[in-house]
Amino acid sequence: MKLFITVFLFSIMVFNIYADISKSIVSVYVTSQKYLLYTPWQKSGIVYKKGNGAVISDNSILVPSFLVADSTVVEVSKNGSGKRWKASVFHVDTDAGLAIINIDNKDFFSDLLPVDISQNLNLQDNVSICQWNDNGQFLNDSGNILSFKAGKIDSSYNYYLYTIASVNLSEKKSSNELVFLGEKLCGISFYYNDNKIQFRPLETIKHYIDDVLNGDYKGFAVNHISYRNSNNEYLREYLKVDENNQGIFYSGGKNSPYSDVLKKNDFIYEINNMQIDNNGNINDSVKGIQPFYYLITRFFPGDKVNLKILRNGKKMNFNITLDSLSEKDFLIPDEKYNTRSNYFVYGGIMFSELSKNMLEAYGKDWEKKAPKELVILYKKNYMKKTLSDDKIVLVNKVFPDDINKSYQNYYSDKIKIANGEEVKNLKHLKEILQKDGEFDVIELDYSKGKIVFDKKQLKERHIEILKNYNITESEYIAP
Amino acid sequence: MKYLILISVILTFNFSAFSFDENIAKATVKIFNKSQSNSAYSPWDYSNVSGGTGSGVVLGEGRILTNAHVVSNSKYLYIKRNEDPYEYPAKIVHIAHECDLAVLDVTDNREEFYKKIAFAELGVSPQLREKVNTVGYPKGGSKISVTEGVVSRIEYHIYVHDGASKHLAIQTDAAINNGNSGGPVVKGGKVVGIAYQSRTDGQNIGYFIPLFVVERFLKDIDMDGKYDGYIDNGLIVSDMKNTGLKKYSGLSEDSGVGIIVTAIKRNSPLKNFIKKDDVILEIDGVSIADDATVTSEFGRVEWIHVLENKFINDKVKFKIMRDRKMKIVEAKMLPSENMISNVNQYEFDYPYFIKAGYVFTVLSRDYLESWGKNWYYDAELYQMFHYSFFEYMEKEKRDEIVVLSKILPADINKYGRELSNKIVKKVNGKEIKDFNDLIYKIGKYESKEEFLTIEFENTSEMLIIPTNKIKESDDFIRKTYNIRNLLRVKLGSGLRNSGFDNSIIKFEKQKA
Repeated sequence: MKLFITVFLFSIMVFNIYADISKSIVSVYVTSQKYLLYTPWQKSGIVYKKGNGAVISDNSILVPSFLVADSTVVEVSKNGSGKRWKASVFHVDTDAGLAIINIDNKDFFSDLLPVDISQNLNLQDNVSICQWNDNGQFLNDSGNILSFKAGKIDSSYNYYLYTIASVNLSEKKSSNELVFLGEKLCGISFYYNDNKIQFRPLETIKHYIDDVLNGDYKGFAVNHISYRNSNNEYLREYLKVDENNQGIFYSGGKNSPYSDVLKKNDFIYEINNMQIDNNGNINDSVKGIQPFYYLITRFFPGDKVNLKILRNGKKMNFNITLDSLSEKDFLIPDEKYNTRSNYFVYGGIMFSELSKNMLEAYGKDWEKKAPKELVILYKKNYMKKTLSDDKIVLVNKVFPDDINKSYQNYYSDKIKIANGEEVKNLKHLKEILQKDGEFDVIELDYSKGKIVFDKKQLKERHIEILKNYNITESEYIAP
Repeated sequence: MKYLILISVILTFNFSAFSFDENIAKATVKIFNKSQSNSAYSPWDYSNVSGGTGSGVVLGEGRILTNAHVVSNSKYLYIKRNEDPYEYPAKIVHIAHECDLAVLDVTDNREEFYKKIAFAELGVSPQLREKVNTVGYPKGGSKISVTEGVVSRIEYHIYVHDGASKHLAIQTDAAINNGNSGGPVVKGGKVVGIAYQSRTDGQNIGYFIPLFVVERFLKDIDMDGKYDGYIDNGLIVSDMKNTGLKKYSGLSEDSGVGIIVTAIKRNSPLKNFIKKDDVILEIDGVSIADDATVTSEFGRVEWIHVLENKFINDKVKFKIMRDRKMKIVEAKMLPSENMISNVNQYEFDYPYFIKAGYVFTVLSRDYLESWGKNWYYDAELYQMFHYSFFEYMEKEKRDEIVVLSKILPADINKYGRELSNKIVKKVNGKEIKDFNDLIYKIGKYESKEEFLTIEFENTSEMLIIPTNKIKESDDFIRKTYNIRNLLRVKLGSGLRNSGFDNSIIKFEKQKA
């Protein structure tokens, strides 16, 4: 009899949880279409994606940002019904990998419940991995938290402490699932393989939702400190740091909040009163031993962290004001949301700004296959903030015409100088070329090519070239 | 019917026997080479001995012509004549890797050798579609072989032996196989070229070195008894088909001549005469068409043809357009070499320097090729970058790129093992200019400082080497890794300029 009651109670509980969670999860249908990289006035084939979103307030649904990237139409459905409601993207943070969509018709939310966000998540916790499938069934698989790992997600700039759980998913057709601890949201998945699911951390989700709902979005503080571990006893001797001191060596940098106050080879031993060990790890009571920098994403840009250091044997103490980074801050941007690239066709030559998307177009081995000089430019400037809107302007390719004879073999080469001026970005190049004059003279950096146009001839040919190659838009320069 | 067939077979036989000169068979020899090469990646190691055979043609006494690749890295060389069992030991008299030619001589039983042999004569260059025979000792048998084909194309090609040099080559469909290399290509009983390479991705596409190149080689060595080599012009040029480019440079739109110089190598022999943006119109009276070609006895060929027959110290007249004004510039041809070697090197011992188990060497094409067949993609990124652009970097002050090629594990280098293949920048805070400068600076600070510090390009990581432990570790490395010498210098001007004390070399030599 006792056994019967327990089973009965348990099944009610399970039922309740199901019922509650499913009221907070909606299916998200996205149609997306990218602009083509090499003919950027055209769009590629249409891609259909389906994911799961979490209702977080009376008119907001949290989704992973990659789901809505390059979207043309976003729709949602609820309760497993086939009815679709029109949605629009309200906010995106591509580095955190999260976005919020709104539904135009507020009636949509009448029978839905906003989720609570879990307060914490520990190793061994039992979690539910939930999704709506294509047939309108609500699926709930249970899993166990295995570990926390600091790393980049989908080549993000920041390191996030993502979570790994074991689970045997009953179906894997959605782009993402939602992870719950009890009836509270604790993660959004981004990877599933070999019965393990990886999901975005609870702290990131909490941080993002609070920030967006607050109105003025600040985003995440970014870690771009470079350091060396201090296991090398010769290095310690050389820099005169006693072997009993645990910590790491700052290796210098430019344009970061650290570079303003720290000096190369400063020995950092504490961050916010937490001891940093020789490998750069801290010991977190919940998350275990983790690299210290994962802490940084818990802060907002403008927040301060306290660092304790040794400099020439002297103890020092600094408050560092953290900053943010976005793709726009980089010399070579890595656009993940709106992937249309800037371009400008002139004299049959397509000029564009180098982006990571362009490098990645060389395939999985792009670091080997793309032009070495461009890969090096990317690597040297990675995670480095430019203080201007400088970009790398390329001769991307040439649409052959009489006017560009002798130049038709140039491709993917950086422009050094145009009409005597150093080219800052595509907009700048356009300004330079639009000035009056008899000739345009463009010098290429690596092939050492020289492009000269007779401006008058070029004007005569311009429209013809666009027509001949069906170039419907001769430029796109993002505002 | 049977009768007819028989006749035609006999006729064919007669015809070919008639056209093939007995003298050529007598003048064509088989060359046996046992070679061994130094490893660019582990320069203290030498390869296994490998044997190869090729052909050669005797033009006169002491003048046995063959390909450079037949006899490269030679340790032991001998020659056999057709239908003669005797092996004649031989030596290399001149070798030109850039045009894949060499002259050999017999060192033993010399009189006997030349007495019985016939000397082949050089003929005249064949025209397209003319029949030629290749004569030699290709694989598939041991006796002399003759194949027939026609001349199908004459143009500039990369010579694969050094991998970068471009010279005139003649394409033929006469079978050219392994072992044919170095053998004569014959027309009318006279030598019209030397067989040297073939395409592996086509059928019966063989190439031979034309007389134009052979004669230049012979003239070069005849002038002063040694081979001086080609002139590397060190220019990057663009064609001038574009009318905008023409007008801008001061040429009329319908002018059919001119190429524009868009870059010059830092050590180009022409750097004091030709400037960037110069338009070259004529070289020694030969007009250069705006598609970067010239007319020649071989038809229209690449413009570099004009400089092919120039020798060191020759004076060459360039008619150029500079700042829209016509000008004649007379330039003296000087030898030049890439600072980072862009050719495969032979009979060459790569420099290296081992300190505390860290192996330093000089960046070269051979070093990069140790990454394997796809080295162009697989080799380390920054090294490849220098390989491509170093010669043209105007602001670059270094003469060589020194790399930390690998680390031979020892206690002293336990913390530096991630840094292999990095490019060395500084020793104890001082920038290094070349390989010898590295040796000099390491020697200097090793005796003065408590630590040697070595910094690299594109990383903040550095090597910290406690100098008091170096001697002990060097002994360990010699023993453990079987390396007799921890140093092989590259002799050159850098050594003197850096104030290098060569007592280090003497010390190392004694050890050998």
